[in-house]
Amino acid sequence: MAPGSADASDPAAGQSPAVQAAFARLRSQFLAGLPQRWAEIVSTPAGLSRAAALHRLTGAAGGFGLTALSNAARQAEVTGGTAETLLAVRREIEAAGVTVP
Amino acid sequence: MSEALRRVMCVEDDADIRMILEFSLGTVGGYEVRCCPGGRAALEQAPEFKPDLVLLDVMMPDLSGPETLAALRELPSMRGVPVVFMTAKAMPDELEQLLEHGATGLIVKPFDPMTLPQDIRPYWEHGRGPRFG
Repeated sequence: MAPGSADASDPAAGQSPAVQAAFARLRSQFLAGLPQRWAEIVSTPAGLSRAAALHRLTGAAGGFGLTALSNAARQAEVTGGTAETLLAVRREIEAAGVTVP
Repeated sequence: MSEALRRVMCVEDDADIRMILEFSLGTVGGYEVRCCPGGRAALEQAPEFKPDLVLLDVMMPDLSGPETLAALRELPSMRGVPVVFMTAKAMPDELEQLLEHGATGLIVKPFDPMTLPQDIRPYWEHGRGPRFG
């Protein structure tokens, strides 16, 4: 498990070393893009666009084994992105070892 | 329909999810994968790629999943090809509404990239697999 990703499971566990390495590379790319996703979420006025951004984060984070972040994003989406639920998303991004502005 | 499931077309607007779909279905599953960022691209590429199965996101900015499905069904080469919606919506009534658009089935996101290659097989083998795979 990558440092700082205390909430992450590893879907590639038990796979061949090559598959594990490929998955780790993809997850690193995804994590590197999280600050941009967060900036998009908080800079978009509450409404359909913000909900869509949270919706995409729900699907993507879960696919990379970041279940807590996926769940937080879904909660933020369904509640319309309240301050409390957005803070939970931010906390989960940081729990994955990613610094956001 | 070909004798084996070989070619899978994925239609998904999120770049990270396209990346993990390619990994899951290509690297893990060994399928030939074509990922399209939206419905219009899928409509352009489907006749040439000739997918055995299509995984189709529901919420997309250019054409929605249901709109894309309706247009795909108008293509002669796509009639009878299983189309499976992918959605992060999880409410049962929403899922039922999606199936009423005529999709072969539904995969709920987030999906497990290690099991997705097996999860899609029933939709191809039987035309209609587990409804909420």
